[in-house]
Amino acid sequence: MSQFVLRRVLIAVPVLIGVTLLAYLLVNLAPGDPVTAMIDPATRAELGQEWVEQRREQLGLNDPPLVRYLLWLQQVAQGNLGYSLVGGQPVAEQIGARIGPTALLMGTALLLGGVIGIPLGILSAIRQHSILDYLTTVAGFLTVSTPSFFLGLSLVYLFAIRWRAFPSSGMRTLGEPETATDLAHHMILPVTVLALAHTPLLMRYARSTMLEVLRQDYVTTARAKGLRERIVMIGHAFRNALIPLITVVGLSLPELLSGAVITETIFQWPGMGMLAVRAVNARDYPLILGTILVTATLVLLSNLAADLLYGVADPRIRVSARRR
Amino acid sequence: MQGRNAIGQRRIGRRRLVGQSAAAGLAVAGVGHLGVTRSAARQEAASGILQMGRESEFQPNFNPMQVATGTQTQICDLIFGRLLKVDTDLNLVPDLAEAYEISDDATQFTFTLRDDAVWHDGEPVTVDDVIFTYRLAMRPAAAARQWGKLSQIAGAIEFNEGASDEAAGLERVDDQTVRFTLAAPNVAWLFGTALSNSLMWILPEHILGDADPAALDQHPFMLAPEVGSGAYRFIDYVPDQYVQFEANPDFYLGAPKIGQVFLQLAVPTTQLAQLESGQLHLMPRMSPRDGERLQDDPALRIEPAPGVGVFQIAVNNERFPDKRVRQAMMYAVDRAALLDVVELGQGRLVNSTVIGPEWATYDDLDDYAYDPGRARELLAEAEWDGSRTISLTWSQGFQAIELAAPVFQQQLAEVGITVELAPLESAAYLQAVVTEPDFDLAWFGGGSYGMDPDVSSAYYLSTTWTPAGANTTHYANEALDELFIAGRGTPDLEERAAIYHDVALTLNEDVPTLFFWSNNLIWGISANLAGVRPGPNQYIWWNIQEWSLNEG
Repeated sequence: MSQFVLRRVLIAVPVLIGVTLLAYLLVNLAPGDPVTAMIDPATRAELGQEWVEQRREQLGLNDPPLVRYLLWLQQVAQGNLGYSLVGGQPVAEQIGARIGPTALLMGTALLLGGVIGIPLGILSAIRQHSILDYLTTVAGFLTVSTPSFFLGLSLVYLFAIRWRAFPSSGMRTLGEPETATDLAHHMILPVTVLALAHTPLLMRYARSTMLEVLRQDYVTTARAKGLRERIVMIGHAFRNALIPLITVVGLSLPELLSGAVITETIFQWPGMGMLAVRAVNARDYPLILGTILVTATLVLLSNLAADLLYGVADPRIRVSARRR
Repeated sequence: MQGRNAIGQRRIGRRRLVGQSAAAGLAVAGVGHLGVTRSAARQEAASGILQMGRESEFQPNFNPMQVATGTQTQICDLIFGRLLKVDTDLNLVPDLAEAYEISDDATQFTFTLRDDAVWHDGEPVTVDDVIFTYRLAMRPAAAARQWGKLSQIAGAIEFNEGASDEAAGLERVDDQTVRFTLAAPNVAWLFGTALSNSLMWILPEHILGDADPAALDQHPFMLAPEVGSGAYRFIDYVPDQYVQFEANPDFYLGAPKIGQVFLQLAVPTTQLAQLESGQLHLMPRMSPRDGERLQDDPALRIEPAPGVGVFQIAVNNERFPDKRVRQAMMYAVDRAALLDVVELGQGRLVNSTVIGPEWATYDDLDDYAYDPGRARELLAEAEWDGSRTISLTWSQGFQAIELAAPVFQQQLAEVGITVELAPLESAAYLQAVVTEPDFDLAWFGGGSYGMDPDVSSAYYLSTTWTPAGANTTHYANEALDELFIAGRGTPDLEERAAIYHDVALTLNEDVPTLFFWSNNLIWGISANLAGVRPGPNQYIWWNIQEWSLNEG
């Protein structure tokens, strides 16, 4: 087992280098550079070519792209993600400041999505063609096909402007002491939007895998043995339905820290999504690479976690892994 | 040194603050500041919290030499002083300098500093701070955006290139006086855009004295500039949330009445929601539609302030050398109707880029009233080739242009000019129009033409063609060049007004760019905020010490 983990971790190193190199070359191919990306063309014309040259020199943009990438890689190997080109702050500090808010927001939303979605999906599978099944299906399709910007702005209009029940944005009431209640109050609207996006997804997966499992011979066998329905459902059916669910949850784990751009923007939540978009718009190469590095690491880690969890859920997978 | 350590500690503190509140939702201690609390009695007078909205996408760096966005401009205006500042009516008014004098030949600018200005840490603001700031900005390693203006100082180029240790034109006359001597006369030297202004934000030498000019962006001070000299002092910046400031009771123009200012960082839709729900007191750049919708909201005042920019189409003069064709395009478009549709009438039509201030406005220009018949005549005279297709580009996402472009296209088609719409992503646009010019027509807006008529010179002098300069049209007119040079050479307003009259007439006749309008900047202001007098170019803070909040 530990050999398996070690091998996966070692493979991750070249994968990460490949991903960041590719990303770096792509952003360098795109038109624009950090010096001119954030200023409008009229201002750029006013500032003149001479200023652009001085600024490029100051930011070290005159080296060839590959050289700059290697310099970056050397820094990273020493545990330094570099400095943002437009903001001047250390990249690690910027990412560090965003990970907390993102994890809080996305974690709560994913948790809610799982806690509501999975049981609902299982229930509607067990009672297929019941009113509950139809209701959750219709509601699920409705919410999953409503774009988050529309849902977000509607909630803001209704709950923040019309009824003034919740703040429209931010993480805290400015000018007042920070409290957990205040934070929770600010979280309700954005978490609702994100949870509504995740719930139907998990619900539909739970429902379909559960339906599939329920048709298996071993469920019939268990029932024939006279086991109680509850034990059949939980011990036999659900346990087997878990495997595809782990994949789905595992795939959405990177989101936990990479953020949701649209929802974060609408609710002005200072998360990773906004940071990443900002970095790309500003052609802030070190910041782009930093966010990609973090996200890619998370994807690899959550894939690994999902693989390990398969073993917990299903002993057969553990055995075959060992044989190989 | 003390200051630098203190700032370092604060930054760690802020990071911890965000981390904790986020991860565990713990209540954390209220935000404090390290500055010495002085004049406690006067401090009590300032109360209330002003909340203002700003675009969130700003560069979170407070290095005054790299200011690139309106948000950064406002932050620097709040915490730093300049020698002079601009009021609502575009006059230069005293700031750190209580008086200034321009020599008759428009080459010498002498500023007398006030003697009561202090930094937020209690140190006096001295003439040495002024000299320090300008010297620092003239170094090549600082890559200051103001270089275009600073390079006009006598000896600045030699200093910049290392040929000299001193810039001859930057002179410390005595303890209260500093003098700038320009290499060539330019009375308009003091006017510029917010982003490339000769009136720099003055920096504290006692803190930045030994900073490396090449690494200013990463200097702790530039990430948390806790020592300025402005009306408010910087307290905290939380990414994508807010920038917090506290009243400076020792502000030299008078202690502010409002205790704290928060710039809430959010996209305009969010700002609007915050303004309507009472979470904001002030929102800049409201769209005309929202302005109209909220006109009757008793909790708000909607105030349109005249802008200083010009909405216009740059015509590639090398490809359209016949001015009759350019004039025809002016006559072909119903600009008045377009202004009503695009800006809901929030703006004024302009017929040149010389649009202000008050003394430089002229009403005897051709107003190019909608006349498709005249346009056809002019095209026939110019033997316009009707089979030619010309392309119109702009930077994608510019809403006003996206509304106006199809109408422009249709109205030009009616007089026989086929226009193809070709919007470009902003970086590609920059390349096609500025750095490697290859375009027919390019639509853009903004600029600060209304600040001083000389601002136009940057766009029309034959010596400032792109990519080195800002003349995107590659228009060249020797007579106009001479007028612009003459206009810079005298501080006498009447003389200048006469010169720029000729400039306006020339531009009006030659139409190197197609002039549309100067649109208003619409401010949404909470009814309980008093004293705000919006100025051009978002210079809103100029009288902030007089603002007050009346919250019941």
